[in-house]
Amino acid sequence: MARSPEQTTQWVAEKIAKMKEVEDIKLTDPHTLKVVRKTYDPFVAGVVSVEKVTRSVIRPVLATSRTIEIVANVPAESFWTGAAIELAREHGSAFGGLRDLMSAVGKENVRSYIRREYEFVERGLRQHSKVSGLDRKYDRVYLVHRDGLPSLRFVMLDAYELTGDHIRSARDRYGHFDAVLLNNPNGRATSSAEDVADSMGVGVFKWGNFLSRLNRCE
Amino acid sequence: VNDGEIIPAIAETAARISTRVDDTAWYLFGSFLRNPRASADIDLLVVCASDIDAALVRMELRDLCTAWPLHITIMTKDEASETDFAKSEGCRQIYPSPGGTGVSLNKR
Repeated sequence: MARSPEQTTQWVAEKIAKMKEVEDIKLTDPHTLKVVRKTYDPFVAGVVSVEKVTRSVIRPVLATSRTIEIVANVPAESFWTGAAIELAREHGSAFGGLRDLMSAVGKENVRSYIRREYEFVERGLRQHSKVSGLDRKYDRVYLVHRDGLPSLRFVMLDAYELTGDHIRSARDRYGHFDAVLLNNPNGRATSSAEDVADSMGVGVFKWGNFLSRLNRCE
Repeated sequence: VNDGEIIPAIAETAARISTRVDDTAWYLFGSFLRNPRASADIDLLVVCASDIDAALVRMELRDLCTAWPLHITIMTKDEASETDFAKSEGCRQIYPSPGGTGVSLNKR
């Protein structure tokens, strides 16, 4: 079942090669590939395949070339630590999964690519009158610093049907959080998801209610 | 390793897990069903009898999730009934194999 880094990168290359924006693709290293595009300049992507992306996972990949513009982690059921995201940023690289890499292929400036979901939430939080700062703990977890109120740690989950398993898996993966932001505009939580959240003492909020929650202590 | 290997790999994993966890149903849904070549990930729904079974299935799926870009939704039977998810999302059952005739991406 396990694949070597070369096999994973080759599999990603085959996916990317089928995109209409792509003219050619070359594996340049077991963890890197060069994407030649029809309209925009070529770019280099780093590829990893782990459950948890840490600094130690991406450091050797980034060290192979200053030209890496995005690092993609293949498994969808995976997560990035805040420290790994910061290292990618210091390198001037975007980060994400295979879906993000495929989206970035269509962007002229790959380095500035940010998943729309993250961009929307960060922008909304920075514009909130109570928010004085944001610390990114993981890809889906932020610590929100608030004026005159305790900091609040939340996880954002992008499910159409948020289940009890989604919330339990988020707790296993990310540890403690004070609130769940259900970040899919059409999403809803099942009764079981609400029960699981209650048992953890956390609320589940859609975007509008989450912004209101930030004004309150509890 | 290619896309065609994923369905047998999931069905094999489902069969293995089902020897330890009774009464599960496995479905594919989303963009992989419509256009597997262009899809970035593979949406998989597993319906389980209980929360405990859901936790066991989640744990047993770790290796498969590292090998493939699987996006997993695990529901209890109550949640599946509450949301009618399998029907509303046009999910296609892959295990137990409907009719016991195997699974084909080209048949609906």
